[in-house]
Amino acid sequence: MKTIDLSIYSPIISEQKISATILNNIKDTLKEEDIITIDMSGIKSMATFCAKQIFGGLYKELGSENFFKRIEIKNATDNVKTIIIISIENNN
Amino acid sequence: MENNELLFIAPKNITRQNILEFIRKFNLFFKYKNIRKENCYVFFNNVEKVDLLGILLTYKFLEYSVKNNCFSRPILDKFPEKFIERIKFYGFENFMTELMSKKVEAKKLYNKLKIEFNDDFFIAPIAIKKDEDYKEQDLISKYLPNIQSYYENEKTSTMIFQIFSEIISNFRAHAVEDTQSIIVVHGNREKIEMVCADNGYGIIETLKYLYKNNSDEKILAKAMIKNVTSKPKTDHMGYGLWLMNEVTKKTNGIFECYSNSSFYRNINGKISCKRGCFWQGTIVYIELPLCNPITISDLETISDSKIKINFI
Repeated sequence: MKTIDLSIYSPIISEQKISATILNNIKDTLKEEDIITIDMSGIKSMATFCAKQIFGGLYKELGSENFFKRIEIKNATDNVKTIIIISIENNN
Repeated sequence: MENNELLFIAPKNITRQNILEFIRKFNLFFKYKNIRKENCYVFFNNVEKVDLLGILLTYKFLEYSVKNNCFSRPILDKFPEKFIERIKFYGFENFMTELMSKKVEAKKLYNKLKIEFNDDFFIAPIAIKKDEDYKEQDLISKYLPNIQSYYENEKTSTMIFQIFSEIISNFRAHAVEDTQSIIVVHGNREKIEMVCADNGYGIIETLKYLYKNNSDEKILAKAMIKNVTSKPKTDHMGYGLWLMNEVTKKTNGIFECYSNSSFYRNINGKISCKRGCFWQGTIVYIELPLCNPITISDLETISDSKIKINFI
């Protein structure tokens, strides 16, 4: 199981290019790994656009069951969890 | 004054409370794009009071005129001492000096960034750019951790970062024509101010195609509603302005948005949305008291969500 560490982007993810890079990194890793962990340590907030790009896109592509099975999200603050969930809901 | 002379006289106060007067007196700048009008005189000698919003808009007007060749050899009268002191205080000194001397192209000015921590702190000023080689993340990683240390309360810094990230994301995504939006931040232990301005299309113009039969003021008011975006069926959620507005309401702060011909104000919970005077692009001003920080997790309930996520 591989961990994708997003702390290098802390404390906020607000740039479209960055979120595109993160999404591509996740997708590439999913080709090799069954389960990945996304470590959100240090991320205090994300622009909602970026959250939808990453997590909304991923959820749509994988489907709800696979997203739950294959993606673990670690060290997300309540704020970040809320942004992730609403971004997925917005994309459905 | 002769008939072919153009005179711009700044009002006594260029502050948030009087900003419409300033915009009204100077927005003729936008009509002279690429005209190179001669015999133009600009006076700031009457200015007694100017705040963060006033300095930013002064800069943006002057920058617009330089970038867009509005005037040929305009005469800019010397700024009064108080005005110069505020220019220095908010970190615009280098910007103004270089803009006036035209020694450096306008876009190169944005390489000079400053953050200072005394009792107050400033991020002054930052460009939100669309250039391919611009690395916003370098800027964020360099400066924002200092703000995080300044505000020991985790929720305070989270609130600030949330608003900051939405402003940056929105201006970057939506300021199509203008590659140089500027954000300036001033904070202390009690409150934080963030101001951002661009000379892009403006919110009303970008939303108009979706709300054709609505007045400009109604369109701007709609922009504050959740999920309203000029780019539906994309990754834009229409949350940015809504979030700024809601956080302002809950914290009893001030949120003002000027775009194209109208303005929206939320001042201590009192909302107004009216026809104002024309600004090419968008201006966002937000002032948040910090005694009771609010984040998106206070505004949105996720406990009933059917989305299953493996949070560990």
